[in-house]
Amino acid sequence: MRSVYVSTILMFGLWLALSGHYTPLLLALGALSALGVSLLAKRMNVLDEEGLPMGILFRLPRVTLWIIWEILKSNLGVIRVIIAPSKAAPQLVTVSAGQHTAAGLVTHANFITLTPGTVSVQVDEDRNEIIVHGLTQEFCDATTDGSMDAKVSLLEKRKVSGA
Amino acid sequence: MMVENIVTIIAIFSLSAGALGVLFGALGLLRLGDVYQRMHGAGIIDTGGAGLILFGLLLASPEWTVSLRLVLIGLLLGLTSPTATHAIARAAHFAGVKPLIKTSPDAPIEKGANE
Repeated sequence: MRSVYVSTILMFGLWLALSGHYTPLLLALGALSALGVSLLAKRMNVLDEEGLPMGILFRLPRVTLWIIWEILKSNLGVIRVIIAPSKAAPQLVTVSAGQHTAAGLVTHANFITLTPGTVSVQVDEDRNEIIVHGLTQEFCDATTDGSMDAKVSLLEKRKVSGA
Repeated sequence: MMVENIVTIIAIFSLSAGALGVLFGALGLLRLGDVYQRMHGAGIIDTGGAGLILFGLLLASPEWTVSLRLVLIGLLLGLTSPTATHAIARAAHFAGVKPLIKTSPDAPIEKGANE
């Protein structure tokens, strides 16, 4: 049931922010709609760890500044290659992912794509590997050195041993 | 008055840098070698370019409702644009498009194996 409460609060917050109507009747209708949609989503079984990954969602602020810094750095790197395309030394590399949930793996692959210079081409859920296309050797090294893997793992709930 | 001026100046710089980023991204789309490399150029447009423009608009926004909407747009872009980029890369990979590969600084650039 916790997912229903969280999704209702999130959606009502979004409604409050976007509607701009603050009369009691409309507020009540908005809250009721948010609750109704959440209950329907629950009934459809889409409010699970994949549909609403609460852990990852709430821990996201921990890595926001870091990811923005990484994005800015690699933007400059790619611009340097665009100015001199002969510097491009594209490669396909395999990155091992330490995440143990589907949502965590997707977050890792999305972070790789979000930093320019590296694009995740294929995600292998069985072997926990992501095949990455990197624009130069430096971009590949930055992805394979495990620093991003560690940051994304911070977002996940720690794995209960034996589970 | 002073603070407002400084914020406006930062906003102008951020907007200009974002516009430059979009320009370089478009240049990258034209200049880089193959479909996978061009995707990195497009990556600049929807991270650095769009991000800096949104940040500039955020500083210049007159009301908090506008700011909130800009933040929401930023979050949505951060979620959807890598997903779309990955979809294109994955489609190219599975369609058998072989990327150009250059393994060492001196090696010639050549068509690589598609794993």
